[in-house]
Amino acid sequence: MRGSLRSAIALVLMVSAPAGALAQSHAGSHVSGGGGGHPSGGSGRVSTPSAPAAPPAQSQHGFSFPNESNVRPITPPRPVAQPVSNGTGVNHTPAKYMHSPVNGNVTGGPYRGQFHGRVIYNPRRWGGWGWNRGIHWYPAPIYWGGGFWGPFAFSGLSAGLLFGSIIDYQDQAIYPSYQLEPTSPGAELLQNYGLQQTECGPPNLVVIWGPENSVICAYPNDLVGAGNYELDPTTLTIVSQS
Amino acid sequence: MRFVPIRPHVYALLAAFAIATISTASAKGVTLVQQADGSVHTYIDVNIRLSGQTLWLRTADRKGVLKIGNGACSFVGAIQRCLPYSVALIQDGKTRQIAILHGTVFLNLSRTAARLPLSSEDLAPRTILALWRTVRGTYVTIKGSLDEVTP
Repeated sequence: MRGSLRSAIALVLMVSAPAGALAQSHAGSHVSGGGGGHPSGGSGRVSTPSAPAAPPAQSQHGFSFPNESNVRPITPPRPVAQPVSNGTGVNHTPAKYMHSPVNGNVTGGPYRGQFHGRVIYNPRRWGGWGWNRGIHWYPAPIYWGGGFWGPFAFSGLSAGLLFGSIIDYQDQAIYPSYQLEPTSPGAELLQNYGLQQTECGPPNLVVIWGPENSVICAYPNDLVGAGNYELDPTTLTIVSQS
Repeated sequence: MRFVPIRPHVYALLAAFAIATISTASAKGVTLVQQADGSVHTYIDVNIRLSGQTLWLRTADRKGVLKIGNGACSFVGAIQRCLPYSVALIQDGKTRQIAILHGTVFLNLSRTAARLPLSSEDLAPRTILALWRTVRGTYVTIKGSLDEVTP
């Protein structure tokens, strides 16, 4: 009888315990390229040098980030060398103009404070944050446009993503524009209005100013005429410049 | 009517099953940290807690905590996608900021599995997948079920 009891308990433990272990090893090997690891005691850490020359782990407990000391959070670059354009823009690019100031509370670029014109309500008639399942949207500071147009970090932006720019000659500031990501809130906005993004620069475009002085441009259509607009991220509604 | 008393070994069997179930139901997160030199550290049994838009990761030995601040959260279907903008390592009584370059956090807080955007992979209920890169070239990957979710 005792033998069967022990067998039953052992069976339960054998069946259930490896399930968790298998889940861990699967996740680990999947991401780390199949490198085998060995659990290091109670710390729950596995060191897997993927290259022969790689130094061994230095920390004996907790997380190990040996290369991350004294790194300040990134700030968007200020000087603009030469924004890339596909050549269709009419704006000439001054070499020494500065990037627009990045501020989570600032929008509208050189037209800030001037958006008191006609409100073009979103055809989907979103309520407050309805487009985001009722969840508030907060900008992520190190991302262009707070991440509204896509997960583009300032330091990670490449020339391939640049989609023209708006140049403020009076203040000698450049507002670069980037190609938005298909699943971003900004893409939802354009889709709702039936707009198609295009490179900023040419005249007679729909110019939409978003969070943190971000800007994108689109071809006008029957609903939205050419001009400057400011967006309200709570309802994905745009307001024209007065 | 005949009553059959529950024997002690049945209690032992149920207890063993309960312990085994609990041990596999909590702190199932896995975190991989790949340094710029190619070395990879894998942390298993990481406790994952979501408080508002802040993600907390704690190593199995409870000695290291990563605090990840998220913003720009939006939904793609049932998947909530956020962008991490601040990471702090709280360890040895000190708090150290880790500058991140870019990354994405995917959350499935629903009760059913949901397909990741532009991917063939499903994210299980109450599961997180996060990937970010630091300024110094360290890649961090986090996947696992959420142990705690607070508003």
